[in-house]
Amino acid sequence: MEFFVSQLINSLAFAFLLFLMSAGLSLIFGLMNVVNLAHGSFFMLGAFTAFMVERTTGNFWLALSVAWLPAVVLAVLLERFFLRPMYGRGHLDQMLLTFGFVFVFGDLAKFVWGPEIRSVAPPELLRHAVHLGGTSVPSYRLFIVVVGFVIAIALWLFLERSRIGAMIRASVDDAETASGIGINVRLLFGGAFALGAALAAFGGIIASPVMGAYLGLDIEILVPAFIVVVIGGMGNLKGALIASIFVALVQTFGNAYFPQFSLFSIYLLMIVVLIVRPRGLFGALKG
Amino acid sequence: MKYTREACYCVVAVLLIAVVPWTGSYFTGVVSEVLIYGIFAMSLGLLIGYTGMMSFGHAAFFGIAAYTVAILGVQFGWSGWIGLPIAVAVSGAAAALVGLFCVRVSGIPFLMLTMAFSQLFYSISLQWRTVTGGSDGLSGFERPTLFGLSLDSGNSLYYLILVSFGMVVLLLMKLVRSPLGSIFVGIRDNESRMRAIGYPVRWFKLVSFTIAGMIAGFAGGLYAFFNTYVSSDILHWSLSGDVIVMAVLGGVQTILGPAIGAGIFLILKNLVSSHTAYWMFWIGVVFIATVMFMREGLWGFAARTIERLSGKQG
Amino acid sequence: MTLLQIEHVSKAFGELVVTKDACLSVPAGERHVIIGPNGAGKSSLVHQITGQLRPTSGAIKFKGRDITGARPDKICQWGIGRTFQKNNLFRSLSVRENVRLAVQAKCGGWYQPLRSAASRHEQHRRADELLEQVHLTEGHKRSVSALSYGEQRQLEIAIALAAEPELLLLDEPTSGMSPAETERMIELIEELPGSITLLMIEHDMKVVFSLAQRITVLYYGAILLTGTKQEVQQSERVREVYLGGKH
Repeated sequence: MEFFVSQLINSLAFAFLLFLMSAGLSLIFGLMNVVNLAHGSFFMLGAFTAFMVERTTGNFWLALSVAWLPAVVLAVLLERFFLRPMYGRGHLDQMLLTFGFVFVFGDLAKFVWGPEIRSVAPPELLRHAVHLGGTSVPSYRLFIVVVGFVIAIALWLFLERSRIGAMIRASVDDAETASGIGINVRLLFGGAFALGAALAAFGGIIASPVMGAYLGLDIEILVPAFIVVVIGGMGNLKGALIASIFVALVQTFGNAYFPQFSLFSIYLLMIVVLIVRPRGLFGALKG
Repeated sequence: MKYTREACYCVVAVLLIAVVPWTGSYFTGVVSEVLIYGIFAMSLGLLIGYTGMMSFGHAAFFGIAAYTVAILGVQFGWSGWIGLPIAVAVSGAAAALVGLFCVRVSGIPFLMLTMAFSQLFYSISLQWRTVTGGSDGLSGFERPTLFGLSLDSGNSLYYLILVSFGMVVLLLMKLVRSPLGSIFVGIRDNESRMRAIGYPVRWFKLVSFTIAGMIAGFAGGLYAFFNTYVSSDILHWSLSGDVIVMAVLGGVQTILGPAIGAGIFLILKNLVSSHTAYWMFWIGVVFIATVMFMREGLWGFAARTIERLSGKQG
Repeated sequence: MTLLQIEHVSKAFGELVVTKDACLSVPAGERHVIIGPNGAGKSSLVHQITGQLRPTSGAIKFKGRDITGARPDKICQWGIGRTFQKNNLFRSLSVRENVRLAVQAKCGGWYQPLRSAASRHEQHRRADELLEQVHLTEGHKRSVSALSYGEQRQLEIAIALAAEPELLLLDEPTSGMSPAETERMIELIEELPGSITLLMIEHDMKVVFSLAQRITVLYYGAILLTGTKQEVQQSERVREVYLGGKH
């Protein structure tokens, strides 16, 4: 029972990290019809920046508040100068372009931070364990779950209830008409891309006390995130949340009970889902 | 100057046939490797360039064939000449099976699904230690003899690989000009219209996927001949990523483009990595520039430039 | 003989109903036009006939065979061809290759690969024939982008004709055309052999009344009326629907 509870908390924490990644991916795909293979790089950049901030100021909360900024700046530059000229070109070209950036960002990170694994200390407040369900659970993991949950709600409110959210939804449906009624679609796209990057970077920051910051983190988080997006349905936020939980559960409990499948459990999940529903659980026909 | 392009081909062919074998075993080895990966890349070029399917699992068929040759040789003592055709058949069968699932989707789901299957084979190779040697890999493959000639020394192996390369190029040229080739092109251009005019598109995508898998398998078998050592790395999806870079760098719109891309990639990698630890950055930059500005690839661009220049003089 | 039978076909996307209990019977050889205001569901109905959309309920029968929800390529092989409202051509290929691909499909595309060069020659000849039929005679080697919009619409029809369909669905063949181009398109359609049954979607009333033998009026996904030109012109309900503006 104790084992189950602690693994459950681990799963939920991982699920929300995946959600932070996949929400951004889904948003970008749903809105801009763009596939961003470099999304994991934002996550990794957030983690490395958090490391830098925490190392120099000793303040994790500061890292949480600002360490996602460099990723956003990078995202804005990437979108403005490299993606924008490619909008008409179709998914294959965008995938290839952003794939090239994975190489570039990876080595840039190596240049700045070197090849060692960097660790980030969690804040004083959250270094202890908490008793839950008869077992001791690291409070930081709970923190991830809570924060992730809050962000999920905030994102939902933003998209469903705010004016900007309405504009985003309108543009997802029909960008041409949306610009016809005065929505500055370009600005919206840039903003959405930046928001997606911010979410990913924030995920990297919040994950850093647990996962650390290292080269290869970008791919390690990207693959499960894409599996989530594919399972949940491309461009679907609700799907991203539910699929994140599924994937995290399968990954965590799968590894615990069937370690020989650890390399492969979530891929198997995806294969099964796609056989039954090729568009993903909540996927819809996209024009 | 109408035949400039043909003239270039002749020059390169002469270089490959007559000059390279005299440059010593190191350089000949490099060229052999380029030719093997060239075949591998051209098979992916068929998939991406002619049918429009970007797969992240192509290494699977390369690796499965390499392992088949190595396992049959090391564990069962079967000659590479028997192992090679079996390897091609096995990778073809694997491609057909994997393709059966994957062609039902396209875009990102296709990308991820192909990666998933490739990871499956990767984890099998890691865990089935008794057969595959696990992470240590399988070494000790003995190269078969070619009409009594040993493949271990001299240039016989190089010529074998060169001839194989030529055969694959000829095969692809025939394929592309055939009705089947025109169907692939149609699918790349407008899949939904192909359906509307009566083509069972999914079936043809499967055919393309299987053929690409078999050719990749042929390259994998040759790799086993060349390297005599196989390990799980060749099944990892990062090799699939590398071969995508090779294919696009060279240009997927032509048959030879990807092979040239393989050459550029491998040479760049060796050259740049001897000077800096950040060779991936530079490959990334060149790759991004290619995708943005030279979509036809470096070879396509060069071919166009040559034709334009010779047009001006002619 | 009834060629096409649409029986109580409905299609809904969740809350949105695009086709409401549609019933229609098209006899062989007829020239039938579907009209209706924007958003009436005309294209959706055609997509359901040709397999791009699957009806939520109801049945579609072609020559007695149930084709509801079948794959587009099978439906084409069974004898239904179509054009698209927005030009749906092979943009990177030449004009002749666009048509040849369709001709090749007719010859049994899937065991094609082993055929000889002679048959390609034959396919080119047939493609040129079809291009002539749609009055696209110059420059079959041109790329699609070199064609004018009107010529592209003509090419659409050539591609559809290559499949030698018994039923040809034309989705707004004259959309976006100038009056002169529209005239030429009307001529082209009139010249189509009587052995081909025509089902057209049209907005341009001039085209409708010069070509149609019977007309079906669609409104919010439901069929308002099916009848001859006179019946449609004299119908009160139809007039209501079209009242207050153009199409």
